Order: sequence, then C-alpha cells, then structure tokens
Amino acid sequence: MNIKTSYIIVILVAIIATALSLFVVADESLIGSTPINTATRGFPFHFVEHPELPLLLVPYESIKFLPALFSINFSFWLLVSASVYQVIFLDPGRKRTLLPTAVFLGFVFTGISMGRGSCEQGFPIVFNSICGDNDALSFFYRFGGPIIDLAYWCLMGAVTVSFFVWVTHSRLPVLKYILIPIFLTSGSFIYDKPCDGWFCISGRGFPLPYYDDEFSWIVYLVDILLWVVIYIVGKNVFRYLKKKMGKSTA
Amino acid sequence: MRKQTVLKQKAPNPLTGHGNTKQAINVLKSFVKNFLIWSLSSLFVWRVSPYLGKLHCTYTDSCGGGWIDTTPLVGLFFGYFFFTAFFTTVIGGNFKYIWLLVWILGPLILLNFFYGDQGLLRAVAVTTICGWFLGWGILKMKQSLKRKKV
Repeated sequence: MNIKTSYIIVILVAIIATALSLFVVADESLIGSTPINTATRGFPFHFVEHPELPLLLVPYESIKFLPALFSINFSFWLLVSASVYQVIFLDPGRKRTLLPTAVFLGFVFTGISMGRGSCEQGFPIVFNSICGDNDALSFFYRFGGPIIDLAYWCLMGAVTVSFFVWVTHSRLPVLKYILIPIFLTSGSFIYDKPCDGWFCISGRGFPLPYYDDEFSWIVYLVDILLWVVIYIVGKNVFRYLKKKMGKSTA
Repeated sequence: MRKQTVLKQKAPNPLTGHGNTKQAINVLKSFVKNFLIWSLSSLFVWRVSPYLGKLHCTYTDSCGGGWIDTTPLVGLFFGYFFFTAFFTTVIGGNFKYIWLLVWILGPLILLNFFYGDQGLLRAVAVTTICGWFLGWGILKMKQSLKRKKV
C-alpha cells in the first residue's frame, strides 16, 4: 500500500465516521443556543440542527448546518482514523503490541469515565445509575451503552498510543520521558487504595496520593519524578531481560 | 551485506513510511480471532452464570446474607476469568497471551478491583491461573495427539 492510498483511506474513513455521527441525536446542543423543539445531530459536537421531526420529513430550508462545529468534528474523526491506521498498519519495530495497548487503555478510560463521582455512569452513553433510578434507562442504553462506550474509549486509546508513538519518533524523543510519566501520574488517579497498615496516606494517586478532597501540585510533581525513575528503570530492566532471553534462545 | 540491505528495506518508518501490510493483516486477524473468542466466552459465561454461581455457593458459604440474590453475579465474576483464560489458551490465535492479559487486566481495572478487596484480587489470580492451566493441558494433549497421527 503506498502513501497516497493510505491518505485516501484515512480521509474516506473520517468522512464516513462524520456522516455516521449524524445518527447521534442529542436533546441539548453543546453550543447552548438551541431553540426549544429542535433536534441536534453529530458527535462529539452537534453540527446539524433541525425541527424535532423524523429527518426525512424535515424540509431542506429548516436544516441549520454549523460549519465551524462540522470542521471540528471532521478534524476529530480524521485524528481518530489516522490513529487507528497508525496503530494497525504502522507498528514501529514490529512489536505488534500497539493494538492490545490501545484496547487495554480503552478499558482503563471506560473505568475512569464510570467513576466520575456523579450518579450517572458511562460516557458518551450513560448506561448505569448508582443513585437507584436505573429503571429510567431503556434496554438499549443498559446493554448497548457499555459496548458503545468501550468502543469509543478504545478509539481514544488508539489516539493516545498513536500520540506517544509520534512523540517517540519525533525530533525530540526525549519528550516521551516526560509525557509518559505525566500520563501515568494522571492515570494513577484511579488508584485509591483503602488506608490500612502502619504507613498510610489516604487519597488518589500513585506512588503518592496527590488528591484527597484537595489537589496537591507538589505531590503531583513528585509523582511525575517518581514515574520518570520507574519508567527509565523499568524500560532498562525490560530491555536487559529481553536481551538475555534472546541470547539464551539463540 | 545483501541481507542487511533487505532488512533495511523491510523496516517500516512509523510516521511517514509503511509497515509490512502482511504483518498488519496478521495483527488484525489475531485481534478479530481473539476478540471473537472473548466475546463468545463472555456471552457463554453470561448465560451459564446462575449455574456457575450455584456451583460455587454449594462448596463455599460466601453467598448467603442479603436480600439480593448475588449467586449469578458470583458466577459471572469467577466464570469470566476462568473461561476467558481457558478458551483463549485453547483456541486463541497469534499473540493470544498478550490478548489474554488485556482481557483480564482491562476489566479488572475497569471494575476498580485494584483498590478493592485484596482477597478478591487473589481469587481472580487463582481462577485465571486454573483456567489457563486447564487450557494449557488440553492444548498439550491436542498437540501430542496431532503428532501421534502424523
């Protein structure tokens, strides 16, 4: 496959994804100026507004197309499709671990989106309520929601992985030694071990908890430094083991 | 010398160039196969979870108590880790162990068990290892039978 073909594929996929996002109907527009009795369509931003009728019955003149939001949406889907392409077709060093990493991150992101601290669990589709009003959710939302959410966050996982690949192979590869620890520190927010034992600091974050009702920038920065050390040591240990295993099998 | 040039030509440039399409298709195939196995085993566990829960509750007394019947949930929990490890080991495609790690660790993090009960984490580890071990035994048996036939 040559480079032109891949560009065409990525752009086509982005166009199809943007078009498919028209099936996403929202009650409220993110721009906040939607008149009552208006349906809005598109994802992540709603770039089409029309009267609340089945789309086929809406006259052409009453469809409001928002070009700025459309451009943002198209750029978003372009980024997503390019990232997925990168993850599948351009695995550097032929490690074949980019796709599993993206899927794994998808699970992690879904977990984070579920624990937002509000009643509603799940993003972009709410599929569970921890406040006891689950009956309000339809069958589609309760069973289709987790699947769509997981798929969405896997795509976001692909974007994240792709970003780190780009950083690693950019002109400033040293950036990855800062960006990956920042990502891991931020991701460690989900780590909230209950306090027990002789040494205990409660809160969210790893190795040191940086959030306990209040965010502590100092602890956050210390965590980043600790992750830099863990990342460098871990990477070298992994490389050493790989080398040794290679030698023993040769 | 010639070998080196061939290798250089095959190496993909991750940002502007292209990887080997065959390899990419292999990765995709492995994903599709392992994903299908995971989905089907999850579906299977979902269907049989009440029976698995009953089986578990027969031998342990950890299911009693509250007004909500947690038996299917217990079955779902243990069944998922056992059968995902089992089916992926027996019929998984390429890179099946990488995918197995994803299918086990992903839901674990999703369910926030990392900061939950440590006993539960141990139970997950034991269940997964049992599933893998049984699958590995069947796989070895299958391979030795194949060799004998040849």
